[in-house]
Amino acid sequence: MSLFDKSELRLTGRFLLKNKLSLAGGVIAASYLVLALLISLFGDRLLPYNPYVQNFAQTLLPPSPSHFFGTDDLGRDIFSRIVAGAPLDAQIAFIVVLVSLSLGGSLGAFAGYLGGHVEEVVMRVTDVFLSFPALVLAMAVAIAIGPGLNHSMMALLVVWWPWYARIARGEALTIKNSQYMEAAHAAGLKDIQVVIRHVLPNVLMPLLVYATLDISNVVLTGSVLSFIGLGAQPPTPEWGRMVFDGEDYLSTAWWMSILPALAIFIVVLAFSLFGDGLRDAFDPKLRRR
Amino acid sequence: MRYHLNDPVYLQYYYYVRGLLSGDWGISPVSGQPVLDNLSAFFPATLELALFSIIIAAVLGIPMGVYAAVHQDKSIDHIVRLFSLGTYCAPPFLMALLLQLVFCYWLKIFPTGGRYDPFIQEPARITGFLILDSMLTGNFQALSAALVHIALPALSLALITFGLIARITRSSMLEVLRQDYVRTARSKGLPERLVIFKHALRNGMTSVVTVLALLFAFMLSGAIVIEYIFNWPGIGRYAVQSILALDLPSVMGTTLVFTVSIVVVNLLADIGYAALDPRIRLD
Repeated sequence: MSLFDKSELRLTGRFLLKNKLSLAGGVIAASYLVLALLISLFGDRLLPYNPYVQNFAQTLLPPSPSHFFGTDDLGRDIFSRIVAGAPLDAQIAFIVVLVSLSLGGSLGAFAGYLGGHVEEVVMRVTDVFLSFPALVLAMAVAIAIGPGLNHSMMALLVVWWPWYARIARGEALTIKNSQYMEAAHAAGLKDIQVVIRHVLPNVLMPLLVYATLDISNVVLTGSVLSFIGLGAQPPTPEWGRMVFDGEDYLSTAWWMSILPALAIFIVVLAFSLFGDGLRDAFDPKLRRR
Repeated sequence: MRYHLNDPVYLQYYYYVRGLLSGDWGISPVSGQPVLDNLSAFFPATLELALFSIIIAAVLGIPMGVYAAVHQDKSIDHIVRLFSLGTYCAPPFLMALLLQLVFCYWLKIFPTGGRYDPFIQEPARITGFLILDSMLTGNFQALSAALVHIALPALSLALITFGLIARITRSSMLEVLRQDYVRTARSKGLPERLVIFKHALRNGMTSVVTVLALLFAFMLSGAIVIEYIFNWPGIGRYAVQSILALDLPSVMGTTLVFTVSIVVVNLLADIGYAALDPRIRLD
C-alpha cells in the first residue's frame, strides 16, 4: 500500500466519514490543534483575562458569566489558563510522537531489513525499555534530569521510541521478501538506498496510524508526569499541574481541579476516537464489511 | 562515606547494586530511614489496593465484555464500547477527584482518604494487609473501617482499567463465538447460557489473562496518582512524595519495586495462560 495512492485514500476517507464517532473525535482534535496554534501565534491577547495576573480580590470564585470556569486560589481566570495551556500539551504530544516515529521508526526499519546482529541488538535494547511501565521509567528519567517542561518531554521520548522500532521492524520483516525488494536489489541499489526509498515509505503508513492513536497516550502520561510535579513548573498554565494545584481546594472550589482534568480527558478521548477510526479505516478486512 | 559521593560514578553504581543485593537500599535523606524499611511498610497497602481494584475491574469488565460480544452491533454493544473507551481515556486523577468530590464532600458517605480509622484499634499485624488481618482476627469493626477506606481508591483505580478488560473480553469472545465447536455446542441443543459460559468464555479468557498482566502495570501507574489523592499510604504516594522532595534513593527504590512486581506479574500471567489453555506448555 503506497502512501499516495489516491483511490486508497478515497476509500479510507469514505470509511471515516461513515464512522460518526471517530469523525466527531477528529473534528474536536482538529479544533483543539487550531486553538493551540492560534494561542501560540497570537499569545494571551485572545483571552478574556491574562492567565498569569493574580487578583486577590477575586479568589476561588465559582463559574459565572464573567469567569466561565471560575477563578483559582490566586484569583486567575481558569478559562483563560486552560486555553492558554492548550499549546503545551499539543507541543509535548507532537514532539514526542514525531521524534519517536522518525528515530524509532527508522531504527526499526533498518533492524528489520538488515537482520542479523543489528536486529538482535536493537530489539534487545527495546526489550529493556518495554519491560518497564512507561510512566515509571519516564518518572525515573525525569527526576534524574530534573523537573521542567522540556525535561519531561525528553523523559517521555526516552520511553516512547521503542514501540515505534518494534512496529517498524515487524513491517520491514514482512516486506523484506516481496518482489519489489528483489527488483530493487537486482537494479543494484545499495542497502541504505533500499531502506530509504522502499522500506521506509511502506513502513510509514502503519506507523502514522499508530501515532494518531498514540498522541492520546502521550498526553495522558505527560499530564500524569506534570501532576506529580515533574512537568512544567508554576506559574505555567499546564493542565496536569493545574489539577495538582487545585487538588487541595477540591472541597471548596472543585472547578479548580476538575475542569483542567476534563480538558485533558476531552483531548485524549478525541484523539483516541479519531485514531481508532483511522486504524479501522486502514484495515482492509474491516473496510469491506 | 555513607553516600560514596567522592567515588566515580561506576563505583557509586557498584556500591548501589551491592547494597541492593545485601538488603541495603540506601537511606532516605528526607526521612533518615532506610529505603527498604519504608518500602516494606508501604508495599502491602499498594498490593491490597491493586488486588482489590483488579477484582472490581474484572467483575465489572468481563460480564460487560461478554454481554457486548453476544449482542454484537446492537446499541448495547456500542454503549459498552464507548463507555470503555471513555474510561481508559480518562486521566487517573479525573476519576479519583470526581469520586472524592461526590462521595466525600457532597454526599459525605466515605472518608476523604487514609487507609484506616484513627479512632479504632488496628488489628494485630499478621500479613500487613489490613482487610486480611482483621478477618483473621475476627475483628469486624476493623474490617468495616478498612473496607470503607479502600472503597473509593479501589473503585477509581478499577474504573480506569475495567474498560480495557471489557474491550479485550469483547474482542476475544467475538473470535471464539465464531468457532466451529461453539456451533457444535449450539447445534447439539445446549442452552445458550452454557454455550457462552462453559464453551466460549473459558477459551476467550486466555487473552484476557495476558492482558490482566498488562493491566497490572497500568494499575500501578494509576496507583501513583490515586494513592496521592486519597492519601493512601502505599508506595505510589511514597513515590510522589519522594519526587516532590527530590529524595533520590527512595525514587530509585520505588522504581525498582514497580519494575520487579511487573516482571513477577508477567511471569504469573504466563503460568496462568498455560493453566487455562492446555495446548500451551511451558518448557
